[in-house]
Amino acid sequence: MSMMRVFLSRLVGLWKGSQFDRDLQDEIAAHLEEATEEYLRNGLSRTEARRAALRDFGGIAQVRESHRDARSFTWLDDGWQDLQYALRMLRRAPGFAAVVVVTLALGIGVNTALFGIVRQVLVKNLAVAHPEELVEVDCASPPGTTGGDMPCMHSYPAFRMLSERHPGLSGIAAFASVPNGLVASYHGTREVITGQLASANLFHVLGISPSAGRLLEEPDDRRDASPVVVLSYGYWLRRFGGAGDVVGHALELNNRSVTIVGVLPRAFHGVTFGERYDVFLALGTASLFFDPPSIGPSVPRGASSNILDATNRGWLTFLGRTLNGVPHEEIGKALVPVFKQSTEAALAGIPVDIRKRFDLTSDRIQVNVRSAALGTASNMRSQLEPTLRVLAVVSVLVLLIACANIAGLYVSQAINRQREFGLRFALGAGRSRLLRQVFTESLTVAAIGGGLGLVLAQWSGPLGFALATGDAGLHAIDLTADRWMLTCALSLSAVTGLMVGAVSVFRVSATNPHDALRPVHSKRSAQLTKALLASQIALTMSLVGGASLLSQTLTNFRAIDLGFEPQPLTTLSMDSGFSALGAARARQYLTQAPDSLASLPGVASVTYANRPVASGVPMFLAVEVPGFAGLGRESTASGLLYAGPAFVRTMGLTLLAGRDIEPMDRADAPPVAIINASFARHFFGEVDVIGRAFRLDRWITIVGVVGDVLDEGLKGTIQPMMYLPFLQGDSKALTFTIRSAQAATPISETARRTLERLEPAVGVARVEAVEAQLEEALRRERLLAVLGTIFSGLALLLMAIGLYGMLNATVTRRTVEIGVRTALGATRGGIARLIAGQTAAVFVSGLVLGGAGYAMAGHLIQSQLFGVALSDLRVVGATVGALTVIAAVAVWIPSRRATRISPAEALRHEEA
Amino acid sequence: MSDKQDVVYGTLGLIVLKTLEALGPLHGYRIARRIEQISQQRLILNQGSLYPALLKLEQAGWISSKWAASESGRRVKLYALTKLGRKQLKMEEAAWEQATGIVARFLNIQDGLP
Repeated sequence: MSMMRVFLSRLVGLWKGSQFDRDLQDEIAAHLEEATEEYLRNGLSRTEARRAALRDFGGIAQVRESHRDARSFTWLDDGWQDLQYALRMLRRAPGFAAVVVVTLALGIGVNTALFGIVRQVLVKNLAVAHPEELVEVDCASPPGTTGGDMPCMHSYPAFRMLSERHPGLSGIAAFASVPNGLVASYHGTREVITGQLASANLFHVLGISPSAGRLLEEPDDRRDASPVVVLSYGYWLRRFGGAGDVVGHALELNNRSVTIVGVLPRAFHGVTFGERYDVFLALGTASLFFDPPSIGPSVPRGASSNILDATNRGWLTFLGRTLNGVPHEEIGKALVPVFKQSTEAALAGIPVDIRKRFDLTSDRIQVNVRSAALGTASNMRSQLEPTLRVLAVVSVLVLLIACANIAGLYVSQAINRQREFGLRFALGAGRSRLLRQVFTESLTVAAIGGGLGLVLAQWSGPLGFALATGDAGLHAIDLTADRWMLTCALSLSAVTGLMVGAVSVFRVSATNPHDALRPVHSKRSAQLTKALLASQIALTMSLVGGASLLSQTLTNFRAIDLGFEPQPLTTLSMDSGFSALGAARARQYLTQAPDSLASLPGVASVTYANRPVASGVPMFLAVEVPGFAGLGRESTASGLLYAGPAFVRTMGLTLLAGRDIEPMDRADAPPVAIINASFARHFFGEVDVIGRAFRLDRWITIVGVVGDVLDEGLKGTIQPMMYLPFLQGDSKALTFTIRSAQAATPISETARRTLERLEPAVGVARVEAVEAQLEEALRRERLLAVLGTIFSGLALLLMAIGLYGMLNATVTRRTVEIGVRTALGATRGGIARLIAGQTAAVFVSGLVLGGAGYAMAGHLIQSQLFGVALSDLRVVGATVGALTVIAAVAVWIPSRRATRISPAEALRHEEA
Repeated sequence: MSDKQDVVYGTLGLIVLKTLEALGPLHGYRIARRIEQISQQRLILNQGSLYPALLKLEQAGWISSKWAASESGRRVKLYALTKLGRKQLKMEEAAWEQATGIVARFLNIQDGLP
């Protein structure tokens, strides 16, 4: 109680210090006058009375001082003095201060930015009530069974069963994104937007309320309901300018009028990290918007083509909310019977012999219940995770290098400061006061560095993240500095400040007053400098080595032979308007469009397919090949691509035998196929297979064999592939591919206009240069290589500064000795060797240590490497070479300075 | 040994509180003079050292101060005991008596244990 009172009144004293001083002065004056008066009354003269009064009072200055102490925090005053002194020291050595502050800012900034990203990607919960209760439910057969997870489907009928029976969960919702997006028309403007189909209870399960209108409700989810749409906050702002009266309006989606019923809250960004949806539609109306992707002719046509009835189509994600306290495993077990029931319904449509042959049963179903506090399984998150792991290694190395560098600089500076500290000690400064001074200085530097680091993190975080994921990713997260990043920057500054301070402390505790009189070259301090420098070299080597590994990885990826010529190909993916055309119009469109594209100036060749090449895993179908059983192989799966005429020519595939796809390969013509070499070798055991046939749902004759293509993209594997004529399939998706005559012909805009003029009902959803798209697939490798190289450069620079700093201090310290040696006839080479020789041992031990560090760092990032071993001589050579060259330059400058010291200069130095 | 004593460490506060209790609000010089009179000049008191002590008492809330005119018409700071100070004084008096009582018993121990 009274402690608190004292504290508070002292706090007041801090602000009103001068007022208190004046009051006390008045009070003392009055006291003295009263006393003088009394002495006067007792018969003393005025002078004597005054003197007596002063004597009685005692030392006025002491009273003032102790009064001041009593009402304020002395240590705070001293701290203020220390701080001012620290700032003065920094101003006196601006170069030194700049290096230290920038180094720290870099270390702290990089780590803070990464911390912000890691928190957003891997730690931050969904912005809903009690996110920890959310779970993602999915079913699978145990790994290793032949059927894989074939039988257990996340189908709509399965969801209906789940919504009736979900033990352990208070509710379960289902959702799926609309593939290829939606074509939205409003007041005559047309754009492709992203949409998610969600069961009406999704927002209820999440516990979200609308920011305008209402969200989805049960009646919307009926199949006969008139379609309604809920807008995301972002889309509402973007498209409707945040107009409040938008509710009730009609929006046209895929040529269908849909009523806007509400707007989602601003904080809600969807339930999957990295995915943002413009609109949410009721799952019950899915058949209106969900064009089933082509499933190929071999799959038996079911009774219903409505996606909502298909028991054998897994397309949904299940999100539930647990009842309090039920463990996830138990919920999983309790849900098994429900999934069993839906799986049996799916299996009922498959003939018994096929079920036997493929071991399709519901017996071994397992249900996984995973926490979805961070959202449901996210591609972006799983792709970012390894990248972030590498970056974490890099940024920790950067911070350690920064610390070693600064500590080294401080220690070599210690020689200059030793006189000062000795002097201050001799003049009566307490050892603790000197210690406090050291820490104030290092913490001040760390605070400035940390502040700059936070600023650096502010813009480097989003920049780095955009590099890692593209603009789409940047929309998914919010990297503005929040209290978490602030805390991170603060604690990093405090830790580095204390670390640097601690290194400098021993020089204070070793200080003696007589050090002020003669400069002391503490052996310990020299050893410490060397040790710090060696560890800095080691860390730098780990970083540079890791970066070379990553650069080599990127080079290796770029050197891969794709099997086709990506430059100069442009793809134009069409929106869902194509699937709405109807068979006759679509056929006509497919005849006219390639011709009008081919007639554009600068176009060499045009083809089309159901998806862009090298754009990911193709669909796989089981094929039947006569005599295949004799080859003793197991897999009967082959990738499938529907391709238009001139496919082989336009893509630049190698035609090994036979012919390209021709306009005559129409739906009514005999079924034909082009296959790749892997298909031929896998299914026939030879490449010369023209004229032979295999079976999907019908017999198909092979008319061409092409070389293998990395159709899954650079990181994919080569699979058996068949290219079937587009017109003989039933693809609902369409992508044109144009090969330009010259590399840099800007073809995309004229091509887009041509296509849209030809058929206004079909829009262009996406235009991409194939080469850029391949580069896009290397985004992560490029990012890591670029960042690794940048940080390596900085680390090398810091290493140079460290070496230079140490040697420069040595030369200064040994000026006299060098002068004497020169006077006695030492050669310049001898002097240079003397100085440079100092660093040789440090450098070599740094390299040895660094070798171990490199092995460790390389091991940590191994999963991100491609085609390069840790022992790769190119990498090791480049690393050691870079370090050696930089070190040589840093050593050369002070050595040269040493050789120029003349005996006369040495004499002057002594006088100084 | 001189017959003058230093103020026992920590007792100045108690003395000031007691003085203010006995005489009501006083200014610094009066308090100093009063202490000298009561101790019959046998207590060495640097009058100035009274002021930090007064400040500490005020910070603790045991006394309050205000500017007023002295009998001689000077502008002086008058210190007065607060309610809290009165309570504190009671406690300290009791504690002091107990402490001195204990010490006194040790000092009288040669008379044999009671």
